[in-house]
Amino acid sequence: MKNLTDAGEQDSGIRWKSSTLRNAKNSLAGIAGYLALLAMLAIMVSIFGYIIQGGATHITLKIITTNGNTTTGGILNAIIGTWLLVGTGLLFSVPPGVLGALYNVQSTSHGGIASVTRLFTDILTSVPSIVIGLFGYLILVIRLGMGFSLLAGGMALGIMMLPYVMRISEISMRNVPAEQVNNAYALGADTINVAYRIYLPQAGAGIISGILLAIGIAAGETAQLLYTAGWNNALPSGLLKSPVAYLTYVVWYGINQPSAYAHQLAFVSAFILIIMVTALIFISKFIGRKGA
Amino acid sequence: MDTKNKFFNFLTLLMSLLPVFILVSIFAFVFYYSIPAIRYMGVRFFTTYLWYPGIESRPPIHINGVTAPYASSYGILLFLTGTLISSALAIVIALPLSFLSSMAVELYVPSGIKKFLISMIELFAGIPSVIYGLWGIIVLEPLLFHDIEPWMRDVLSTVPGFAGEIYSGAGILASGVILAFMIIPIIVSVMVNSFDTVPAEIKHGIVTLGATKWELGKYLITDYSRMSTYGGTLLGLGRALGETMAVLMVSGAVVNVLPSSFYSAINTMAAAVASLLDSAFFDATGMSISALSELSLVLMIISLSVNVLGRRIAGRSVLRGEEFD
Amino acid sequence: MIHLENIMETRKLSVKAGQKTILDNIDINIYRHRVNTIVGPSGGGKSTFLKCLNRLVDLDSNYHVSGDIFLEGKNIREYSEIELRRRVGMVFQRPNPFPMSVYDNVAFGLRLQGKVKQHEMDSMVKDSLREAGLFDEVNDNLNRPASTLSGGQQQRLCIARALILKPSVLMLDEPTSSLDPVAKGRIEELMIQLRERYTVILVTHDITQARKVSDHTSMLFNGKIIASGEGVDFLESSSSDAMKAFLGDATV
Repeated sequence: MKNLTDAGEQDSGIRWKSSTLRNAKNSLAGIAGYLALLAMLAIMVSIFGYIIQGGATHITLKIITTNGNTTTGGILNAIIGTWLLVGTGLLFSVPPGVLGALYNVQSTSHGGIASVTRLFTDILTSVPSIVIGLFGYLILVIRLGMGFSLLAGGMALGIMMLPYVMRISEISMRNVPAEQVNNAYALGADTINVAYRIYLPQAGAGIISGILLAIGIAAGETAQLLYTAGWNNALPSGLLKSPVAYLTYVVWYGINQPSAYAHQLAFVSAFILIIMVTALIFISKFIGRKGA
Repeated sequence: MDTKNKFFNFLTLLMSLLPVFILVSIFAFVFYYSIPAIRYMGVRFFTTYLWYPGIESRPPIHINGVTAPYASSYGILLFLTGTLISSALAIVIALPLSFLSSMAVELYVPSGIKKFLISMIELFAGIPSVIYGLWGIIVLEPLLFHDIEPWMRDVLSTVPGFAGEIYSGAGILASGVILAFMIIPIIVSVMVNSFDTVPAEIKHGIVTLGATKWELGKYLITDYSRMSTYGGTLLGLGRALGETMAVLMVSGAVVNVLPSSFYSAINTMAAAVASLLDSAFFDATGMSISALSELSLVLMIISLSVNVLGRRIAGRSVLRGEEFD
Repeated sequence: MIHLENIMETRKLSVKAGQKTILDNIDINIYRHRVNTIVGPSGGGKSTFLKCLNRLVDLDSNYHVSGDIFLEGKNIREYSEIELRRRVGMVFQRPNPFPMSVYDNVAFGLRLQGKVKQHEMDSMVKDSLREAGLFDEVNDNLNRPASTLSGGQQQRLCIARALILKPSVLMLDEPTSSLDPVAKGRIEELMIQLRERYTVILVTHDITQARKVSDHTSMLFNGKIIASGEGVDFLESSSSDAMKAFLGDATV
């Protein structure tokens, strides 16, 4: 038999790094990683724990069923106000969001406009919310004469919800198989039919999941409402020129007051908010997953 | 095609253009309202830190064709510094935590728990900023004030910026920490997603050459997926720069007081707009509002540039943990 | 009679993914300085078998491995993963060059594992490229991105990348299945040369390739070794239906 040399055995004198050391580094990195995760979880537990404990101990039927001014009374006006604002925001974000998404998803036959609007939509999500608030104040509240109002606050929220609804709707619609759409067109369906019969039913779950996410974000917003919605010790009397109360205001304003009762109201509001937002995020995830 | 469909198509096009219209309007109007302040303050807007609404009882002054309250001054140097320091601090705290936790999620944690952790991170991203602010006030500030800051002052007394007086816990440190928590989910989300898109062939190729998980992770973060690392960091920074409420609640929101150490109160651009707008209503000349508009304009330009750059580099966008492609 | 020496052996090696059995009681000897070939239809567990030998299978927590594998008489669980993978190199079905230069690709494993000075590195990178039969084609510019190479060159680059760690065993998992006939031929010649210095384990579904290069062949079918022996010809005399079907398919 030919005398064969074995590359592995003769080893050509390579000095290997210590595998013990490398394994130790690896374990150390793993431990550090777990610690980082643990730290994040601990902070999260702390946030949820303090808010839920503080809210649960102070919540009373009276607080959630009477109106108040952040230092006395309840927060019913803020609870309803939040939903009124979010609802108004939906009016200004869902129809344009879904319609715009319908355009964008069929954009291959429309040219380059969709790529521009996509870029702007993404950029719009990163406009600081206080800037939207200032814009709302300057234009909606003052220039268009809406005053601090449901309409001004709702539109400001709508501006921030729109990109989420539009982009998530578009992504959901993109999952609709192209051949189905093409078949429908080949069979003589028109754009409205295709939108109504194919895109909306098939992407419906995804669209709703996007809307829920947008609601969760809007319900937790404060900065852009400070100067568009104002504050109201009762419910707004109409769409215009009548300010609106909202939960995040109670949290922010209440915790800064030197009054134990104001702190209670802040905690209860935060408690309701965190439960609402968490529920919306999980339902949105669940529906989104089911849709996909 | 019938009229109804033509109209419908036109409507979808119009709605698709709505975000463009809104963004351009925001820019145009905020810029338009800034003009008086630009004329009044000029470059001094950026070079002085004095923000003073002027003396109402004295007649307004006329300069460069605009009217402003007597002795008024609108300088954003302090807010600009506050934004940059708190965001930088947030990045310094968030980056190592984000790298380690995304590496752990991706390489060390069993796949069953991975899903749970990713949902937690998404939930983390969705917590409203006032809640972070509330937690900052009731938990973080006392902790900083009573324990962490005195300890830091003792240990780091010779390091510049860590000596000074401890006031209340609200300030630079609290802002940086709160912002860090808010941006960690964004960075982790970008990184975990980029790890997931690394082809198995590449991962297996590297492991086959004898790399440990740590070596694989290090290679991915610093080399293969480095664009996502940079991009995710920038997206996190973009969020930190524009964050308003949480910082407003834990920064001390001071005006005209220069920070002397990391324990000092500060103010950021976004928080300043929120906190100064109500007093600006009473300025009959409208100059305060104009100055706040200019401040918003500067904030928007900085924050959007960072975000757009981050998005470009990462090749994707992530908001509140929600991934757009 | 040629003296055969085991470098690796598996004893009662089984792999399950949930309820599904992927490998069932595999006993195989891998002979030193030979081309050991595992043939069989796709989905028969060939790739999983290779991944057991360097414990790459451990990456997927769905897979449960039982039984023993020995390298140089020592159970592979007694080696650190680092050392095991250094000694048992692997090349995959699709060329997987890293997104970096040719030089950096080849140097990657050594930078990871070895303490090597720059001038030594240079010569070892070149040696590995020579061994993989790629040196002459890339020598003019080792800094070109690996992605600019052709498919066949990329695969030989991956072989060079594995060889720089001086492995005892080189595992090739369907190394030519994504290549054109010329590139395929070159890698087949290369395998025959490589057994001078390395032990080669080849996994292929291509019986023609096995005929060209295999010294010792095992047939893996539905997770079981159904035949094993010197050369390839013994397979043809098998009476098993599975074997006939496989050979029939492969020779068409």
